Amino acid sequence: MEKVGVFIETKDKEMKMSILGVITGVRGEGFELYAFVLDGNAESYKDSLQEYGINKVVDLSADSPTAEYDPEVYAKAIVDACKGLDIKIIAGVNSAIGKDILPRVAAELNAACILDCVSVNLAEKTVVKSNYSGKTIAKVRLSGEYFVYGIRPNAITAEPAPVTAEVIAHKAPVQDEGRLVIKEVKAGTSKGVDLTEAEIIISGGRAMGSKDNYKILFDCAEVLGAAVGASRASVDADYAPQSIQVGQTGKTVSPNIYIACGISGAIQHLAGMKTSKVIVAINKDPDAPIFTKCDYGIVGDLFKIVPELTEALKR
Amino acid sequence: MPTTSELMKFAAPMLEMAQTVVEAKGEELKLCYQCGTCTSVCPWGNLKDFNPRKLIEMIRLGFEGFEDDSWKCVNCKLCWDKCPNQINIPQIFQSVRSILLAWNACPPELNIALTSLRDEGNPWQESKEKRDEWTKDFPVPAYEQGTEYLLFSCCTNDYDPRNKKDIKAVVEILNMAKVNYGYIGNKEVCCGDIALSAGENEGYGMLSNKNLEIFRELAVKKILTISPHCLNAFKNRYEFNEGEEVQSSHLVQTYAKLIEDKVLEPKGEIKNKVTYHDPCYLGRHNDIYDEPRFIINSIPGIEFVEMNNIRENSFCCGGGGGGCWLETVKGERLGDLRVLEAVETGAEVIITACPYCVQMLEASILGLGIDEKIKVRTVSELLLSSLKNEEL
Repeated sequence: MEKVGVFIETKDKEMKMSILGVITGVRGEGFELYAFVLDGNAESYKDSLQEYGINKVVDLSADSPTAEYDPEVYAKAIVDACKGLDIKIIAGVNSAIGKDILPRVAAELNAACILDCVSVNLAEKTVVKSNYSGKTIAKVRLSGEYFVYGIRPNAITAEPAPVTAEVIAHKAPVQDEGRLVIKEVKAGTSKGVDLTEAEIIISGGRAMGSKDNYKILFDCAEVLGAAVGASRASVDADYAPQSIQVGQTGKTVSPNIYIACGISGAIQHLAGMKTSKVIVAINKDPDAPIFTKCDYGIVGDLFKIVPELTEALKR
Repeated sequence: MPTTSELMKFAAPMLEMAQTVVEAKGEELKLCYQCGTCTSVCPWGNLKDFNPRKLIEMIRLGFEGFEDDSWKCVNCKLCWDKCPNQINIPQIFQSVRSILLAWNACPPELNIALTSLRDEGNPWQESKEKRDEWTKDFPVPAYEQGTEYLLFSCCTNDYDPRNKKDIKAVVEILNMAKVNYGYIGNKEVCCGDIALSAGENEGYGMLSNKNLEIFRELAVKKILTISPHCLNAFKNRYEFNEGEEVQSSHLVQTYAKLIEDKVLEPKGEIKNKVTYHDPCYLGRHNDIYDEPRFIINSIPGIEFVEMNNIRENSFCCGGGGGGCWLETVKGERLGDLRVLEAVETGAEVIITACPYCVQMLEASILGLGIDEKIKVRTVSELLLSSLKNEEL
């Protein structure tokens, strides 16, 4: 019976569901499956894991705590468990975390490491992976003592194959060498109003002058039921997030009304909004190119006009 | 120990890749002897880890990982000029791009421009019927058989509100000098330079054939270009038939001649400190360096200062090779470096002679938030200001 270790990726005490596809891909006759859980919640994942054919759930810990993600400690703990349990095949999801952990494990074990596989055949020691942005498909045979496989998320459909698993504990004598310190984990920006579906958009350019000044646009947008957009120059200046950038290299929008405030009207911006039904431009420069593209143009200071517009709309 | 052939199998997962590039007009790939001069002169080296030498070797060995970087080349031609083996490195990237395009692996924003080229004959997603809209209240003589010069306007000048100002200046100057020229309006389609540099050979073929047809139909002998990209396409890329003697020139050459012959006499003082940015396609690609400087120096009152990287060593704005349509993250823009170089000279105005340079440099000025400090004007705009005795 050959043993296969599967790195179970978790986040906030939840298991990444794509791991079930990996388990489906590596299980088979003659293989015993070990799941490496490092966040200390092995017991809570046991039911799901045994449902898909995991035989042993390894509650893996190290001298240094593993509850917080630390790729060095994680990799060394996995390596120690592999050596202790005589596991020579390791698999995981080819996610950002997988790509962080699996090559480290492979380096420590001097293993043959292959990432982004779309299928694996452990008995043959072959994998299938795509190259050149999906143009070619290569079948690769690996040789060596240890093997590390990164499997593309959702490449293999998860199918249940229930067995009964037991939880075993393994404590690795691994100290954090402190070569790598995670100072902060920043969550990605949440999705705001979907610009591409808004009926009215009020957009600001670099003339907005600061992030705080965008408030007048948000105030006006609230009364109008509009979404707020931005030009590339204002995104560059960090006044607005990239997610609301309108233009050739941002979002293409086509609302009923597009109000451009302090946007000069570079052709790249126009490319992203010129199919708007009605375009209103507010700019203090009468020569601004935007005025050649708008239905209504107001030459003036947007910091006066926009609040007045908001007030007028409130009435 | 593994044998060499076994090692090669491991090192070269897809030797066919090199062959595919060679077949796509990238045969000079074979000539590279990996000295690395290209990498040391490439403008991208100032901003990021970009290594043309390594990319060439990766392609030759069939390694993955060259794909994304292959879209970076702005066709500034510095590497080609400095390569001891005179390898046309931009052409290698164009060949690679043509293969990537066939695989649908093209940056999406560039794809928008390429689709617009096919559908509308311009890269700006504008209607082909609206090309001549700017001439409605600004009459321009139409080209007829026998007219001396065909004024090839360029899509960017026809459609971009900013660059329309430049083409209007061109028309005013040509009228003042009584040059015998004409415009073909909506019959014009893009010269195809961007399609070619993006590896879209089919689109380029379609566009160039359309223009060639019109040139033949109207028996065009002389083409006057505003964009150096159009100039380069006509002079160095278009396949005219043998015996078809079509001369292409750039406006700055015409202006210089008209000033020399005293047909144009710029008398109005321009009291600005200016510098000149050599567009790559005008300078390195077509060796036109002196005329724009001669024009600037003929303007009374002007103070002309040079930047460090000029003429054969000019620093690209980042707009060539499709760069004008590609998003580059802040902090990685060639135009920013060029603008800062201009600011260092103390100049208040950057003079240039290419619509892409105008766009890229102005976008950088706006992005850097220094629009109070420095601005961009074309040679035509400068000359017209002096001729009309107006402020620049």
